[in-house]
Amino acid sequence: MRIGSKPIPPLGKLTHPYWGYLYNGASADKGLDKSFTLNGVKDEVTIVYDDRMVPHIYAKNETDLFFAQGYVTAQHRLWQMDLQVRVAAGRLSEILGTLTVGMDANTRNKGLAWAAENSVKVFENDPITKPIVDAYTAGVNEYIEQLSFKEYPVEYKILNYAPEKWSTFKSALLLKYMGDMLTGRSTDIQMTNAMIALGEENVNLLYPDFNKVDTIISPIVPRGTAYAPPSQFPDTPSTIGLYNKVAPYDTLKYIDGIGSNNWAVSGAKTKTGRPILCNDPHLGLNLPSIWFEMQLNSPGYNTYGVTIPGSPAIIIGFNDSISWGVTNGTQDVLDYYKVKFKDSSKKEYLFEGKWMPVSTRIEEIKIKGKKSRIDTTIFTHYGPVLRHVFNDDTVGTDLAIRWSVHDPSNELKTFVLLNRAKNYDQYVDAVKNFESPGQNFVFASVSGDIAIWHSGKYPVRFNEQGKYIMDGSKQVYQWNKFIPKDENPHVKNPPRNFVSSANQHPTDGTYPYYYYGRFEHYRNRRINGVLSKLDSITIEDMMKFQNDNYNLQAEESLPIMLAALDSTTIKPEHKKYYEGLKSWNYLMDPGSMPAVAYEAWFRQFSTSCWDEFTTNLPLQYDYPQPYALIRILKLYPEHKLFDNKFSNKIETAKDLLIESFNSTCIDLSNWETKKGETPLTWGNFKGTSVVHMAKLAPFSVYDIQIGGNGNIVNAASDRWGPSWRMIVSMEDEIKAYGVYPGGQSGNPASKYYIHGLEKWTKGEYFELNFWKTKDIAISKKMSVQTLNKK
Amino acid sequence: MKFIIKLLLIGVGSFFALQIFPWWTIIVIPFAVNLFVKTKGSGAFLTSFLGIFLAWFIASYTLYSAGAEAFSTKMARVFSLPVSGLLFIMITSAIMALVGALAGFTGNAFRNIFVKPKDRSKSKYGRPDYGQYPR
Repeated sequence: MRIGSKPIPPLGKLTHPYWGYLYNGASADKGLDKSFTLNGVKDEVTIVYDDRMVPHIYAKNETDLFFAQGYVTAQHRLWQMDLQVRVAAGRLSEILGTLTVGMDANTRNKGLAWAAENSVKVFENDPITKPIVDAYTAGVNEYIEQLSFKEYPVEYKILNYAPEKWSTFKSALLLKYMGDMLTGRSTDIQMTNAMIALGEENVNLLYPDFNKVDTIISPIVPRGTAYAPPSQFPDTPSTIGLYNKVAPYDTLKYIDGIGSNNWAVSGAKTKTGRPILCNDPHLGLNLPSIWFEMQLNSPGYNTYGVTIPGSPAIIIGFNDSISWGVTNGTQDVLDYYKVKFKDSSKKEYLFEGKWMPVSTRIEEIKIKGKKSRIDTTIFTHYGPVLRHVFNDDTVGTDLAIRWSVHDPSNELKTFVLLNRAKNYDQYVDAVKNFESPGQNFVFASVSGDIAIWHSGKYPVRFNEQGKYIMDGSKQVYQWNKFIPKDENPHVKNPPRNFVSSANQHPTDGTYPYYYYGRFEHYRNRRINGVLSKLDSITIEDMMKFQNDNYNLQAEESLPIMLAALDSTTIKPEHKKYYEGLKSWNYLMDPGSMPAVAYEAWFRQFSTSCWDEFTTNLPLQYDYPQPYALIRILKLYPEHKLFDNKFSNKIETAKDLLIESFNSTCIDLSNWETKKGETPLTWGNFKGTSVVHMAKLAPFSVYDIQIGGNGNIVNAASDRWGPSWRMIVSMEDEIKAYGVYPGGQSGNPASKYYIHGLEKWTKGEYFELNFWKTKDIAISKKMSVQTLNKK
Repeated sequence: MKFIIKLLLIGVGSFFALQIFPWWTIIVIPFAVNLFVKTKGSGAFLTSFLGIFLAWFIASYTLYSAGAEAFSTKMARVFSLPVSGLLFIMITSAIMALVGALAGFTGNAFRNIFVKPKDRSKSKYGRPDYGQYPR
């Protein structure tokens, strides 16, 4: 049944007095001390749940360990695992009906499932990962097999469908989905459009390779580090892209601000004399939480950290010897190629003077209550041809994508090797396996080393390759060689005694290989600035700093912006915003009013600057990054880009600042009038929310009073934010702290569903219980589950 | 008396049957009881409604009071109802009771179509008494 396009929950099933949602409510948090007799275990496995419901799994062999990881994860996060796979596979319409058909079609066209099929072969041919994925899958499936309807997670009952079996393919697909989340957007189309609209001079001013043009940026590998000469050289074509030859394309807007922070400080800078490692990956704020915390212990294996429900092993964490964390590498690894088809049947395309055959993949999108939709994706040797460049069937029919996420790869192996690693060399072996999505792996060891590697599979590019749509018919434009992994940017024990990354440029302009991306410009400089000054660092210092709300962008731009205003011309009712900004400490605290005024003003100013992008065509551009705007505001305040082409007079930056300030003041006082009692504060204005994956409002939390923003160290924006804050002090007895905006249970009725949210909001942490042996864990008198051999 | 017996048959029967069978038990039981035990149409409707309401509500209340109080309130919000969890299970019980009542009423009607009345003389018009069945 449905109202309009929204399905109505099946009332009888859902409210069944014994089997319906009431069972989920009444049984929540019970059963954590049960014993299970199972086919899949060889020996007894003990699972100790601590007071936050973090499972500590003690197994006698690795197969049992990963079986138990699957079994335990399924107990608490089954629906989330299922839904994530449906999103990644383009199978939402099977459960949601016609509502999601377009989304499914786009996902499938992008070829994630094809990529995952390629990776399954790699997982299964690798003696390290094969037994692990098999055991994990068996664990999930044995849990599903013994599940009765009443025990289904409540979302199955609301959406009226049943769990289906897990598989290695699904684990691979989830890892590819992470790749999509972190590298699945590229600005080739937008940049091509910008080149057509603005011309080369302006594009070079607004979208330069900042590591080559300015000296303010603070790369991951410290400026001035010498690089060995490159072993690979690209062939260079006569033109870098097709912007002179293509019509503009439509596309989706690129989203900035998907990022993360990590850093490690060496013992020379800490109070204990031992390194401290910190990481906070920024991801979509969803419930159930993207992470599931866990300790994995078997002979030779003792690792704690967060897992992705659906993937074996710990993704971010530590063991007795080392700790590691990740941030997104942010390099562009998705390129667009314009393909010339022989005719409208699209069976052959031109490459190096020959007609090459395409291959096709038929996709059957099953739709609940409707006939299936059959789609065909055409594949070139680059990858799939985007049939709809996103929302419109009529455009983009000749663009193929080359994307590193499509390549067969074994990211799981990296995580397993990291879980077991004892020292720097083993960490390097592990991260060299990592291909996509490119990540900055930070490292610290009990023995005192700190390091960071910008890992991933990156093509050897000619200058500016991949910035614009390229000619798909010539070999010189394709990815012909890859940077040897040894030559990926990295740094170990640098003289400044810390390493860090926050999605900025991995290197300065002297790195011998070309790369491109929309890198972050503020968080990283704030981090490096503060860390270089800190000494005798304690865990408390790091906690405070992960929650730092300082707005470096405001520090660098607000004085210039305010200088444009004449205080005598400001209306009396707007004076309070002006005065607030003048005395502001640049902190994006939840209670701050000037933080709102600055953000709103900067946004308005930015919009008013980019009238150049207003055209009659339904085109998508990416506004230059705030860093680029502030740069030209400082350097060229009278640049003709500041002139509004729709007005009669000639404007400078000053005129736009005055205009945008006035309209911002009007907007802010309207906001205040509209909201009545709600004060105009950053927390209220930003409205950070953690939202249930099925967008069910009663299972979501809205208007969380937290400071920060995307370009602030405390990167909590409205729907993105620090998804796991972790601090690990590499002492002989490791001390670790962590918190995430959700909780261990996926059951909305559980007291552990949003257990950590309050502490996360306040910037507080839980001490992580890293219990080295089963006996220590059991002595804590927590709930204990045992898995016994049948 | 028949009213009470029927109510007990439907209510107690459904209360236990629901532990084993899916929600459509509340259609089957009132239908069957009314097929076999004769009352007027209004009696069929009322006994079914009350029986199912009590069975559904009491069974729901057992789990509700065993830790599902707050969650019931959340579920009410999933249905966009700004009511308490307790009122929500009353409302759902009433909806199911209405379904059961219609089933009971239908059972009674079927009885009147297919089951031969024992005593024709009781009918004023010399033909089966269709009770409240609309003609």
